Amino acid sequence: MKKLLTIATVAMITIFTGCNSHEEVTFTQRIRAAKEVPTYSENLVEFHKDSKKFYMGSGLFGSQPFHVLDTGSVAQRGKCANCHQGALNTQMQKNRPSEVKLSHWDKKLNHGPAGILQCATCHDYDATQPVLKSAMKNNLDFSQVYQTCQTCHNDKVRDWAFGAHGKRVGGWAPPKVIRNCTGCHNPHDPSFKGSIPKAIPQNYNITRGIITDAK
Amino acid sequence: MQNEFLENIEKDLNELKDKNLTRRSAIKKMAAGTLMAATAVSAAKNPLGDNDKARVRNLELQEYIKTNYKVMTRDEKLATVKRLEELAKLKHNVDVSISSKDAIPGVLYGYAFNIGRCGGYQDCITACQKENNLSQDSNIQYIKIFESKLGESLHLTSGNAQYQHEIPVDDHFYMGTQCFHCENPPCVKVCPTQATWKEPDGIVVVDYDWCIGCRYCEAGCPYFGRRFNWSEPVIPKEDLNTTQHYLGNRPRSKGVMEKCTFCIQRSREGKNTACVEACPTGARVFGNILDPNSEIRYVLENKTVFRLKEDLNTDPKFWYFKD
Repeated sequence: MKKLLTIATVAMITIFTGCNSHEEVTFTQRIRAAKEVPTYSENLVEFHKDSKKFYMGSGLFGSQPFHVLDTGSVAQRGKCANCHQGALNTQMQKNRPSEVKLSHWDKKLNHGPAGILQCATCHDYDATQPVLKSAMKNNLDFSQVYQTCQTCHNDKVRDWAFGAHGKRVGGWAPPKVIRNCTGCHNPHDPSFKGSIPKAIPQNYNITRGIITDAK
Repeated sequence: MQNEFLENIEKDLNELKDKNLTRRSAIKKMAAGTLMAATAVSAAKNPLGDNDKARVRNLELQEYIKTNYKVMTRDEKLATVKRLEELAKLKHNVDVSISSKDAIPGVLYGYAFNIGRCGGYQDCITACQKENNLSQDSNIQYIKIFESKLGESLHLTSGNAQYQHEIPVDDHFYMGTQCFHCENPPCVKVCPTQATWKEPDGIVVVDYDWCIGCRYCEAGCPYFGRRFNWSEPVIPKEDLNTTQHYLGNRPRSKGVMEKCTFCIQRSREGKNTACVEACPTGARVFGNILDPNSEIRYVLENKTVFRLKEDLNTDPKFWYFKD
């Protein structure tokens, strides 16, 4: 009887300790094990056919190449020379911007603390084509507006290049497509405005048409 | 005394025999009557032609005796989605395409939520409802957005998910929750029928035809990720999303559990989930954690991330960060 009991106990111990040793691989182990970039076998993403992707930002901050949705090419906007003859009165505007009556007066600038940014900060007046400029270079096309924004918002543009900031369109699988800065932010008034929530709240009983106590 | 008793019984039996009303004939008559009534009722509810009705019955019978999707072979999976597509056409006159696509190898999905960018707009909730054919009658929402005052705890119960005012409110932050697709999911452990499991690409899925609706998984989930269909789901035909996956947004029935599936019908085609696409501020990031060049990896490696209820060791694949 005693022998039977010992055998039974030993058997139970072996069974129950051996029971929970499932070979579970945590996903940190899987990440470390996955050395290569997985290759996706098909062309998985088919984003909007009419999107104008223009730029393969290869090497921007060392990120992978990605596409940026075009926010409007120069050809769509009017040339400065359509209205202005020759070069604009840039010297006066650069030196004493508050004293010169600005054209395009319908554009109100609500970007950062008042008085810091002027039109000339981002817009390149020395050109007859409508172009932008950054702290480093002039003559930037409107589709390269992220370089203008990069002058002050370098960290955000870095996040944007890697996909942590901004609106990704398309899919998680390559090719990566992202909206340009001006695709979401109005450059003259970049902060997002409030709105009302889109969904019907859960404690609103649709059948009875009343708010209940349900959470 | 006993003889008299027996004689009386025999007299009664003979009387009944004459009336032809034995127990056997009575039961036969009742069964025939019930069957006729049932056929009449079902014919009234389902006005199909005889051939279609027989076909529907045949398909429904095959669907009833099929096995758990988790152990099905590839052929069985293809067969069941074909049956479901045909049933949808016969019963509801809609053309749907139900995919049975397996996990893409080398992919493990992860999700990041930027609580600094969320303004509580709830575009994600409505996009999810449209994409996943959620019941409009019971207003099922996979995603909850909690509005909490800055400085208060991150505990979900201190937040308010039923806000109905203009957002974002000053001094408040917004945090969204949904199924976190844990790597160590407690809901999977407690399911008595193994109707829910974790797929190789990390998505925790439910076989709606195997679920018995006991709601143990709802009790087991610490994040309130699971939803139960208390009533028959109602989706108007024009709102139906016809691109479906067997484990994803195909229409459910009353009495089964459902939850966020990382839009399995989209993510297995390389697309982003509906909530990620809908977010107006770009607060949601989705991707393949095993791809070192993905956005989600950048967030995990460069931002301060946290997860909810880490002490429960559920290992959720949904991180929060602030940039």
